[in-house]
Amino acid sequence: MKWLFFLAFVVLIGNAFSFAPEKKLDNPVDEKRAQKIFQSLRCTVCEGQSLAESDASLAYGIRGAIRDKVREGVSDKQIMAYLTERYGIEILQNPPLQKSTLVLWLMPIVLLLLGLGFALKAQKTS
Amino acid sequence: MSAARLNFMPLLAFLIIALMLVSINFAGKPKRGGGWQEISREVSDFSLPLLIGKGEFKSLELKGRVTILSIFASWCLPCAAEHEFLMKIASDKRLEGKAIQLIGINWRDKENDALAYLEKRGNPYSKTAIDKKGGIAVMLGIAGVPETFLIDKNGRAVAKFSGNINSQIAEEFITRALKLDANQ
Repeated sequence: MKWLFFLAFVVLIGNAFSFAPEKKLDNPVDEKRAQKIFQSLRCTVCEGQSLAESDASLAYGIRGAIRDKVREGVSDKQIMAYLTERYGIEILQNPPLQKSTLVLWLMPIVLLLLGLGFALKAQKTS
Repeated sequence: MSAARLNFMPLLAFLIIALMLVSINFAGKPKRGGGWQEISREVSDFSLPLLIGKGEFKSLELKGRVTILSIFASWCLPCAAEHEFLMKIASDKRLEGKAIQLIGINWRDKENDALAYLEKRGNPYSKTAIDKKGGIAVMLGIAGVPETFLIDKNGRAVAKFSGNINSQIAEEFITRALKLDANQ
């Protein structure tokens, strides 16, 4: 049984090193900027995770592409434009207010107002 | 407020919340999932090491030829499922003598695994490049593997297919590539 656990451990460790390790930028200022960009983006293939924390293969690829752009001196705005062109505004943690996201932004307010209205009416009737 | 109207409130609240959740799910999402997607994206300059042989694959090699660009990995099961159809594209007589190439990009993989994968299943690609970090595939806008791109003679990606291709999709790639070759 011990051998079985050892074998499983070896296989799992082997898998952990299957891919190229994520190389951080040499310049700590650049790496910090890259990390900030990761935090402002979502993982598009794993619901509810930021790009910074995702282990998905695509997330590794996108982080690598962002680091390359940061190293080349591309601005944050240009990097965001580059990514939204390819992955849509879905990749942004805070999508801008526009036609396609109008319902998303307004619905909580409408819901709150409706709730307040209902509560007031219910209070009056009681 | 009547009791009947008050009873209706939970249903109304449910519908509003459901609408909100549906909106969140679809807000700003590009067309995703399996299937064709028409795109128009200039492929930026890049060079990647070759998996087989020495040297590099340069994006310049995309110019002057129609390219079917397949992004795959040895660890990807749908890639294995589509491989036989890539082999069919590679051996299709209609493509002989045409300025059409089938290029592979091996994505975030181990070289030995990728080589063993092609050795076992056959190599449909005229050239296979290694995208170890995955950045070139991101530049193309992939959402996962496998994805197959159709690139015109000017080096512009005009369409992509997400997911594993089958016999019908392989035929569509051949038809579209021939059409692009004839028109450019």
